[in-house]
Amino acid sequence: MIEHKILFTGVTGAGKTTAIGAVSEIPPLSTDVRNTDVNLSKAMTTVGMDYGELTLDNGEKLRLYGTPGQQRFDFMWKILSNGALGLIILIDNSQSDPMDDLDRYLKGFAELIENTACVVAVGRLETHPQPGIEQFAAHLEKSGVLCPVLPADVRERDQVVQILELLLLQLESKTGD
Amino acid sequence: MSMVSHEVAMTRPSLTFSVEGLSVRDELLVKTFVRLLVTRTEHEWLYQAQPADLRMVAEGVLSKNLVAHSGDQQQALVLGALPSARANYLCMPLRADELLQELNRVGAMITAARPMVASDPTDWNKEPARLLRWPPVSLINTPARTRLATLLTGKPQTLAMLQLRSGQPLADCRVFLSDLERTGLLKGVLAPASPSSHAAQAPAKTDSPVVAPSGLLARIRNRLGIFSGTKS
Repeated sequence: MIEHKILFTGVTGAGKTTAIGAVSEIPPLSTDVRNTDVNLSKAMTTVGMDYGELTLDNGEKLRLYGTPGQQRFDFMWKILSNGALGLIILIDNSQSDPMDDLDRYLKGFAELIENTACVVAVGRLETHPQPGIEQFAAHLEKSGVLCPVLPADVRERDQVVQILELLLLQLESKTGD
Repeated sequence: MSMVSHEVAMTRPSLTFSVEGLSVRDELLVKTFVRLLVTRTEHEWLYQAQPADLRMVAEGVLSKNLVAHSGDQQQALVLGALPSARANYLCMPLRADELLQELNRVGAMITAARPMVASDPTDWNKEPARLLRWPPVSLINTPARTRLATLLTGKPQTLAMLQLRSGQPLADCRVFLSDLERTGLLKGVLAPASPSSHAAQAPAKTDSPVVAPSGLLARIRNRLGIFSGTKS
């Protein structure tokens, strides 16, 4: 069976599990464990990855992977990137330095971003409006990355679908498919 | 954007404004105020980080930076805390009628001062174009425009290609390209690259982009219930 995959990345709590669960046809599988990091206010956190899937009309599977949020698991990023169609970066704007978070993923997934497609979705803008979307766009420009950046609430399925649609459009515009 | 506002955008000159030196709260307030008024102004005002046609500047900031801009065509509107009758000045908190009047007055000055060559836009039917950077929110304020901008992040597109891929009306695609060109966010591939346009050059580096199997994107869209009107 032919399989395809799309990656979701972002810091712990950015909403990777939620985003995948919003569109997956199966309940998202998460390798969550009890959080022992006193800096995180979550009872459970993903240490491995999240997984969801969609079955396409010809029987092929589209697999949705959420990467581990913590940088100490970045060795898995390259493994997961292999053969992926694109990357969705979820930014949690309530974090202390969202721009630094973005940088980490731009660097960690540089090859995937260059060769496929990428969308940056910024969450919690309504409560944490700074940095704004235009600051993220300017930062992406400085980093040499041209991709969509938009506000998003990944609890809303429609918004996750919109993010995926932009990812597909960008892939299409890069490859001419 | 509704069909009505698209028609307005096509018939009114589009101008840009920047906001400098205000607190985050006041900057947001000014941008929101302009956005609310823009259906009534004689020009279509869009926010853009500098350089914009109109600089809306906090009092005190202008005097420091004016010299640097004194040689160009930019207009400035000072926003201060105390009432004053002087020209190019508005008192905060803003009043809708005063702001509307100033936008119309300054807009008329800017459009009158524009050189005639500005009315000779690039023919995007012949020259493929791509984005230099992701546009400001004011330019991609609808899902359709966000999709158009996304299509311009990859290989350069002519107007016809953009229309075909997006499924949007040709007139909407043309207006969008014009808006991007006017705000300096679009580059024809025949034009020389700007030294600072790193983002524009980035995708050109792609040596081995992943090529999605034929029809895959359409199958994914179908599964997600997306009917985008794209060609695949």
